[in-house]
Amino acid sequence: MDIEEQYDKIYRYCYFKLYDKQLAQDITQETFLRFYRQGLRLDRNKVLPYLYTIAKNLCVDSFRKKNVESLEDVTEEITYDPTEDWISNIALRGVISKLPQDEQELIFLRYVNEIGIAAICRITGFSRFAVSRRLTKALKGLKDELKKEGFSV
Amino acid sequence: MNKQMKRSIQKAFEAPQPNQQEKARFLETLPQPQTSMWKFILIQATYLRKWTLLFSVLLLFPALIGAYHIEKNTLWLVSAFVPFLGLLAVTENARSMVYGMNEFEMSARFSLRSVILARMGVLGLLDLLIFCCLIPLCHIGNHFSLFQTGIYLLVPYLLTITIGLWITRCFHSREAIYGCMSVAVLISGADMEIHLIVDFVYQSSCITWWFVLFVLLVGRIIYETYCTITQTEELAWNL
Repeated sequence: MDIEEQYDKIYRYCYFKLYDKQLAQDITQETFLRFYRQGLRLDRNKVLPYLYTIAKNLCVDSFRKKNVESLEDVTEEITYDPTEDWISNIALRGVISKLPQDEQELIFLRYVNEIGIAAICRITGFSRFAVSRRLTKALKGLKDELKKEGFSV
Repeated sequence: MNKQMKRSIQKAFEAPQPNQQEKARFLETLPQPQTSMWKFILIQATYLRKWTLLFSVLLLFPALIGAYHIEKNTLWLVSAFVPFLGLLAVTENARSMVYGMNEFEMSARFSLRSVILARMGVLGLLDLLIFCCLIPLCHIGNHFSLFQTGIYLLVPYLLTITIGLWITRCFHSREAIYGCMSVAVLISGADMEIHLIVDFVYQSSCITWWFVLFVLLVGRIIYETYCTITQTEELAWNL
């Protein structure tokens, strides 16, 4: 496992959950500390789901403790280069935010953090069929929304 | 999904860069305990049934006794015993299935696949060591070459394992073990009789066929092992 790469991905995942840069970084570090503190020797295909499960649980705990900023409040934190964008990032982000939370998470895990379907099944607890079906549905919904907004997909 | 769409989604989810200094400091100080594959294999070896190991080693005794007292027929005596060595290995593999624990073990921390591979490795190594002792012992007092002796001992063993793996893969119940036992007894009996009834198959001219059979059986075992391991993957489709 490339820890540096996974650090960034877990951080992105935590940020996607909490929209708080410092909190996401703290939780990322706590995730790795907990993972290594247990001294487990896991199968290679169980490492990622285990890391994401720790991160997810920590995010839920953290979310319960404090109210996080909403998505709209933090968009200005992210910088975009509009010249190279095919679809406006902000518009796409707006469309994605309209999708149900679990579909957003699936899209994030599959296409942003590029996790395999088998690992996604372990993280989310869905079957392969359910993951594939939901991903297809989410992408279709995304494309439909983009078309409605006037983008050619 | 096209690449452009994927890139757009990645950009839409882009997070602000984490504090790089903090990240570097953390990764430097992160304790990463080294996990050892050998340690895992050793742990799994301790879970093998003691009587499996004991009976496997006990098979050396007929060979030892035979080598000293009935020199010429040691090979036939031992080759009648080796199917039981194969039987021990196969039944050890199917243990979680027999006790109805396979689905539970599939979702445990160490997947059933790793556990079975580790145990198969340990048993295979033990059997290899046993054959390294058996072949020279059986070679004493007969007119066959060491290579021939090895082939005549290994073929019944591999045949038992091949059929045993197929049975345990296809029949998921305790009856599979009885099937494996029957096969081992059948091969053992056939082995004792064949050299009396059709002794021409043990002539040097037939050794090529024995070798071909040996290679085919090794190939089939690799295939069966692959299928068995694939079958032990977690039943994600059924969730």
